Order: sequence, then C-alpha cells, then structure tokens
Amino acid sequence: MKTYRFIIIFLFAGFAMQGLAQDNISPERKQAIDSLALEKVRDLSKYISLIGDKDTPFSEANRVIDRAVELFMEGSEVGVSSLYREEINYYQVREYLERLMRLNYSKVDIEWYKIEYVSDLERQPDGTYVGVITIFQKFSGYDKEGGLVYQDVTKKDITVYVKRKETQIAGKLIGFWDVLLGDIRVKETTKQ
Amino acid sequence: MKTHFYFKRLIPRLFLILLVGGIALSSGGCKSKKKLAQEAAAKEYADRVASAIAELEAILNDDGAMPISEQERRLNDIKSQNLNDARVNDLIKQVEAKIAAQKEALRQQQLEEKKKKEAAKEKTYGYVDEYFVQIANAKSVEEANARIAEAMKLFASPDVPVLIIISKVGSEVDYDKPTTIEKYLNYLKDTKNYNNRVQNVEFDGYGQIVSLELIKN
Repeated sequence: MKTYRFIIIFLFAGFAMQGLAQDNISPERKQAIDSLALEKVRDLSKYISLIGDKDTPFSEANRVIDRAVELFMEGSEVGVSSLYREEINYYQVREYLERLMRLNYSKVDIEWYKIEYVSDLERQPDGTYVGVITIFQKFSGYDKEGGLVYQDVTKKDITVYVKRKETQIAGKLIGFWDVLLGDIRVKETTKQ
Repeated sequence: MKTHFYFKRLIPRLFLILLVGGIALSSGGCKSKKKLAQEAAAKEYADRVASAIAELEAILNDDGAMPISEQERRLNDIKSQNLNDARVNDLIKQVEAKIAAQKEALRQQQLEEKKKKEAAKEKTYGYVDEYFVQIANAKSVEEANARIAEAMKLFASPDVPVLIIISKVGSEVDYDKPTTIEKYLNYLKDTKNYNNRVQNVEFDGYGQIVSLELIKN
C-alpha cells in the first residue's frame, strides 16, 4: 500500500515538474512568441485588405480566403458593425471573408493600424498561451465615380491562442509554436 | 648485623626511588613522542600547503599549455584537501577566476566560429534569398507570379517543407508552424513581407532543394 502511495506521489510530482519546466520560458523566447502572434494578426490585416480590394482577381481572392481561414481556430467568429445600426452581427470566419469579397462598393479600402497587445500572452493550465490583441480598422467604401460612400473606424479585439506542438519533418522532430486566432469582437465603431 | 639491617632498610627505598624515577622518565618519553607526532603532522601540513601553493601558482603562471580540464582537475584536488590556509584560499580564488575567464573566452571563440560558418553558409544560399526578396517586392500580382514560377524550379516539389526559426536560445530552437514552399512563396506575394533569411538548405541528387530552413532577422 505504501509503495503504491509512493508511486502515485512520484508520478504526480513528475507531471507537476513537467508543467513547471514548460512554463519556464526565457524572456527571449517569450518575446519571439509575442512577435509571432502579432505577425499573424498583421498577416490577417493584409489578407483582409486583399480580399476586400476589388482589383484582386477572383481566384486570388479565394486563395487568400483559404490562407486567412487557416489562421483561425475552427468555429471562430468575426463581428461586423455599422454606424447605421446598434447591433453587431457575428459571422463564421469564411462567411465573413466571402461577404467582404462581395461588398457592394466599387472600391474598398481596409486598413488596420495600432496593432498591439491589450492583454499579454498568459500561460493557461493546459499549456496554451492566451492573449488579446487590439486593432483599429479603417473601412472606406467608394462608388463608381470614386466618391466616398461610407467610412468608419472600428476598434476590434482579437483573442490569440499559442500552443507548443511537435511534428516530424523528414525524420526530424520539430518543436513549433502554433498561433491561432479566435473570435474578433467589435469594441466600438466611430466615424473617424 | 648492623650492615644487614642497613641494607634491609635501603632496598625498599631504592626500589621506591627507581619506581618514581621510572614513571617520571616514561612520562617524559610519552610527551616527546606526542611532540614528535605533532611536529611530523605540522611538517606534513606545511608540505601539503607548499605543494598546493606551488601547484596553484603553476596553474596561474601557465601560458595556455595546460588544458582547462586539467586545471580544473588539479584545482578540485587541492580544494578537496580543505587546507584552510589563507594563501592557498587566495590562490584558489585567483585560479577559479582564471578558469572562468578562460571558459568564457573559449565560449566566445566557439560562438564566433559558429557565426562565421553560418554567415559563410548563408552567403552560399544568397540566390535563394534574392528570389524571396524579388517576390515580396514585386510591383504586381503578374510579376510576383512570374518570379514564383522561376523560384519553384529550384525546388523538388511544391510541397517542399519550409521551416522558419523564430528563436534560437542555446540549444533551444523554436519554429513557426511548418509550411510548404508553394504556400510560402504565395505568402510573400500576399504580405509583401520577407523578414527572414536562409539558414539551411538541403538538396536531392538532382541539385533541387528538398528542405529549406529560414531564420527571422
């Protein structure tokens, strides 16, 4: 009985130590992960800009939609707001991007700026790092004559999930950080 | 009769004197043995201290002929003797500092050599970097696609794995999620952002790239 108790305590301590060891990430490595997550959000901003751009060929826009969807966790939603209505509509990522591609303007400009952390990446008990990145999106829609029809600035919060994973490539074990974006929530929408 | 009486009284006294004298002499002998042992121990300690000092000074005066491992072995041997001598302790500190400095210099030297090797390697793969820069800086989708088509000829297939190192701290290497060369070249076209450089390339028997490793700038 005593031996069993000892084995259980030993195993438990082993798992606890493993958890501690994983948590013990040097500041340099943590900074690299922070930057990687920010880079993924910047990539998304470029994809959104390309998808919304009426000059982007249809096939290219569809390819970019596929790349953009890969950045998200399955089931993630994107909030859409307007200066003309109170409520915020939420769409699945692919649906949001496809709607963006089909927007009824002759020209669309989407610019993301002030991309920064509002909540640093924090390690969760399951080993996933979770943080929140905020962005400001300036949306401008133009008519055939090039006149500005609609413009707003929306502050959005993006939840970011980062998890350490391993994969075999050409027989070599690679430890990588998988960055996935979660829901994009609308915080506020203003004229400028 | 009188003489006989005299001897009879003298013998016990003589015996007593001899006994006391014997005890006195024997205790004196013990004392000198202890003293001798103490002197021998003191001499042995002094010899060990002198030997330790000589050895430590030899390490300090060594101009690089003695390997660091040998210096450490000798130092640990001396430290294990616990000589507790002020001069020895002082020399131990100096030798420890010297070994630490030598180790740091060696580490720096190895780091420099590694960097030189990596720089030479990167220079060799500069033409791969050049393709990536051209795709990222292309003025139009058509131009970018033309560069992608050219670059793809360097690779064995569109599925060649691309690994991107995001951090390298000591032996700990962190990667971004692995991708394929086709996806990566399109990523460069879409984001117009090439902030990496080629770190390692593997070729097949036909001279085509089968594996690519990049590192963040």
